[in-house]
Amino acid sequence: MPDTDLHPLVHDYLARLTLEAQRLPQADGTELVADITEHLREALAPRAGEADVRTVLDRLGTPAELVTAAGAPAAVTTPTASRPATWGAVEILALVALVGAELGFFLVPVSPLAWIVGLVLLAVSRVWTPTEKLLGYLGLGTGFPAAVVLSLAWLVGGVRQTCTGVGCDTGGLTFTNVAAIAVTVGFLAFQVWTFWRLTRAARR
Amino acid sequence: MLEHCVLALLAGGERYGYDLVAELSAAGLLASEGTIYPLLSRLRKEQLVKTAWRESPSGPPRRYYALTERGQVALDGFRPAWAEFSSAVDKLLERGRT
Repeated sequence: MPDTDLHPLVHDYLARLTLEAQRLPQADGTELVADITEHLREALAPRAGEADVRTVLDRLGTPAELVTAAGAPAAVTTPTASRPATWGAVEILALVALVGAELGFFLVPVSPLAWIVGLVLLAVSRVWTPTEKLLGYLGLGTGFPAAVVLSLAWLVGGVRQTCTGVGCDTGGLTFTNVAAIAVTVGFLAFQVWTFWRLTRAARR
Repeated sequence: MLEHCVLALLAGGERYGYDLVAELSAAGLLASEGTIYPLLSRLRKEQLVKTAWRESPSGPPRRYYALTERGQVALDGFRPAWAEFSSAVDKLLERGRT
């Protein structure tokens, strides 16, 4: 029976089997494909309908199953997709850049550059999940702008406090001061927690 | 276990691949019919079976499998081992019922 008599589904199955059989030593792969081809010729009438063909193929097992049964190592998917991402230079640099930009925010123009580098590295990392990256933006990415804004606010406040006479802030803890301190402490705690979360990904 | 079933079928005379598959499958011993072929290939490499191509009355030649002496020895060794195993399992199942 020439190959042209085979049902298109059988052709497709044998093509997939031939591809999978590349995982085997060549002689074993050739033999397996020959055996299965013979089996299909025996099992199917020359003009078998699609339902019959599908039944026979289902009972045969998938090409991957057969090749694995023949002793091939488990199927290999694309190596880049299956290789677990490992903690590396990108992640360390991202954290160092973001934290460094925040702590050294007054070192212009290094600090804004480091901040941008940190944000980019955070985005391109293959270790962190989208949720962890979002946390990184909220927790660490906001650090540098927050430090700049706070220091400017402090400078402005300090200038105001140098005035004398009526209308000057007499110092002491107002409600606004307490609230500002509470927000700052809360934000710092969130930052520390975020940092811990992102480094924890290294131990996965 | 499946390999010994194949050897037992071949003890009755040579068979071709599809014929073996059909019988084992009908007996409910095969989950995926195709996996029998790698097994047959292994049995051949271990010289427990030998193969020969023979003309078929319908269609292309078929590869026939036959038991070798070595295969016969393996089968003879398996029979008492299986009887012992099977009776041990039977006893356990019986005990579980009472």
